[in-house]
Amino acid sequence: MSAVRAEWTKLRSVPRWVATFLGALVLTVGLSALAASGSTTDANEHPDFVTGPHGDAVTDGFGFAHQAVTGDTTMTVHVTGLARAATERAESGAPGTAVPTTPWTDIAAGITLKAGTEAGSSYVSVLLTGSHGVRLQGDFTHDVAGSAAHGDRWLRLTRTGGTVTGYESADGTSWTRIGALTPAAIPPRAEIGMAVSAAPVLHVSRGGGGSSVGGHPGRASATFEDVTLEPATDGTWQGTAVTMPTPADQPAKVGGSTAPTPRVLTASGDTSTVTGSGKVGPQRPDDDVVEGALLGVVAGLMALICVGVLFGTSEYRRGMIRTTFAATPRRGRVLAAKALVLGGAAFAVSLVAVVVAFVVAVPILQDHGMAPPAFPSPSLGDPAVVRALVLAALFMTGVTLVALAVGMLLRRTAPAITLTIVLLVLPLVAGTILPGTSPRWLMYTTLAGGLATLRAQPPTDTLAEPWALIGPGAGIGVVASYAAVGLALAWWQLRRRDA
Amino acid sequence: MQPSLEVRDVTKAYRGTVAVDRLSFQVRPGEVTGFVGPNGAGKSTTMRLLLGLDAPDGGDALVNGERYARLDRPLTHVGALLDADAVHPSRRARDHLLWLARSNRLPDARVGEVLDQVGLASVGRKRVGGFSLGMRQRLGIAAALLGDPPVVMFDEPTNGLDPDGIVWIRELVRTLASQGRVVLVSSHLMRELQDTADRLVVIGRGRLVADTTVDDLLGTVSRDQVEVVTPHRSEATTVLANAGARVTIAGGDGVVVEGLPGDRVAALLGTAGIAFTELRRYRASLEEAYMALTRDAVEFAAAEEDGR
Repeated sequence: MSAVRAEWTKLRSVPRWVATFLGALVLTVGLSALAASGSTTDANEHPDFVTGPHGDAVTDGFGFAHQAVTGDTTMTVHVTGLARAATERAESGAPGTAVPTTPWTDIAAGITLKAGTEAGSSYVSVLLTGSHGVRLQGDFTHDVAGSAAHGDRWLRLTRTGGTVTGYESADGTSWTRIGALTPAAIPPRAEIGMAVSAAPVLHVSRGGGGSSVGGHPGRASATFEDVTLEPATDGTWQGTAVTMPTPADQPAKVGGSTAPTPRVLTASGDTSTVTGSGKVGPQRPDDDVVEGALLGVVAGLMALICVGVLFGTSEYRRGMIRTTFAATPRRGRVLAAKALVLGGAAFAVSLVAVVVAFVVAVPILQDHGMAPPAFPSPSLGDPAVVRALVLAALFMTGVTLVALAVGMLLRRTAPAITLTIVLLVLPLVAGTILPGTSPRWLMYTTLAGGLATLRAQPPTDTLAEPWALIGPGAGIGVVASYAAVGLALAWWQLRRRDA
Repeated sequence: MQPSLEVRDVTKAYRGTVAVDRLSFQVRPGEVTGFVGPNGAGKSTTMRLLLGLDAPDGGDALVNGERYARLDRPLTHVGALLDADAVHPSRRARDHLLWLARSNRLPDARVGEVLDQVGLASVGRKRVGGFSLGMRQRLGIAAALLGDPPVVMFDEPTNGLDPDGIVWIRELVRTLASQGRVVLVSSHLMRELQDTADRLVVIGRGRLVADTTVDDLLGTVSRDQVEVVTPHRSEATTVLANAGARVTIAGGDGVVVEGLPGDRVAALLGTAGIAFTELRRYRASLEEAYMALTRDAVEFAAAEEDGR
């Protein structure tokens, strides 16, 4: 404790260090604001823009063999085959790496209960997916995982009042409940039926400082047997391709949409084959408003690295370390106190910096187009925002501690600052130049991975910035490991070496 | 328990170069012990070993019978001035002392007291970067006195001090010793210690050359020497040298005669009719005594190396 008070007195009594801390704050906020005012997007002017029942941007496209039902109802199907259409397989072969699918972008077949056939209307589906098992999904936001079955599955959807429950079964006799959802707006008279979707297949190629995303529409077919509806209706199944609206200023495209669309529903005896194209799910842009509001962190880090290194190397200027160790001979305690005091100060400054940067830069970004409905409007209370801000501050703290460790190890200011900045910046440069997803391992192994903490959105392969490839937990983990290993090495060397 | 500083058979080498070689000595309380030797003799190394800053390759360096690293609140046991420059130039003098005080759970009020004691009270709020070397020495001494320790160790404390400062240090050192403390003061200049030290630990090339009182040391070196003051130095030299004495020319009109007792010198000169104005037992300066000692040490070491 006494060592901590001593180190705190040391830290606050050198005016230049205090000024550099303030500089870190100003740089973080200033550069975040500057970067925000330099960014623009036309996402909200996107032509085929559809919002879901909650007002978020969504995509809604699938093949739907449906009929109208009123009130409580139960539908059961046996999905016996789900595969990508042969025509689609022929098209694949685009350059780059295929973007892995999520439960929202996989091919899927099952039962959908939907307010109507207009894109964006409220729905609940129980689905067998290509590689994400059985899911119960609704209103483009809710996703409940069922079993990991694939290929062949019995599915059932039951509407009781305002609640829709999903079941699955391997044999059609013993059923397992997956979960229940309460859709936002399905009127008593609604459409129910067999649904098949296939999200566009994306290929991303990166390198040379940017990334480009290419893709082609997906198409899948599924076979349904033993289709029953209770209570029985006298209606018949109707095939409809639910599609995103084609914008008025963009008349029929040459190619894709003028090509004859395959029939949605082909029935033969008890077997129905449904073909669908499109994705049903949230349409969040990969670009992250929170990350965009915190880009100044990189500039703030430069100042923090300088303080961190100097707090270590100043001890070795003029042999001050001897005074320090004469006062506190337990060298491990001195290093721990230094790390605690520096880390505490860096965390406090960083947290203030990122919160102010967020408050200042988000409105600027929204003025420049990163606004609802295409982009969610982040607020300081959102769990994802709180997580991003706290982790970003911890990331800055971690890098400051790495700088301290490097300073203590190298004992000289210029090489220590250079090395720490290289550890942070070089992987970023390399990561934007390297092709494919190879930057991923760079992000998992270098300080640059810590930038993943700035993102509130899930990781994505489609962005140019390499740190978007990994999640925030992995990012902070990498930085924490560097700080821990660096400080351990510094401690080991302090014990061994003469002062 | 009596305060003490003790070095027992300590050896330390840096990258193969021996800095301290099986050195042993003990410093007693209540007197000023001068720690002398030429630059590079191992004085600073010995002090660093005593403060636990460097680890000895062999032997023990003990403060109050303990290894320094085992001391709780070490500033209350030992105060040391190693290097007056070891202060961050951007820090105020007060803040430098404040972090030291806090590291050893000393009351903040001690800072003002020691600043008063060393005469820096008026510049306590100034940044150390603007201090003269003399002021930095005083600040370093203030840091050493912070914990009111029974043992103090000053490495070359008079470096860069003006005459006033030198007198001040001498008085401070004598006062500290008279309070019963262990006081070790190093210097590469013997004359700085002439009026201050009671005992001397002399080292050369990392080895102990002498561990003695100032009086004994002067006595040893000045033994059997007579100084003659005469206007006829060359004649006197001839006569005395013929009688078997070793004669060296001293300052003024003096010659120093070695190897003949004083009465014999007087008789020889009288017989030869050489007038002299003064004849007295010669008392060497501490400087000369030290030169003689360290010259021996250097020659001894050289001879030993040749013999290998």
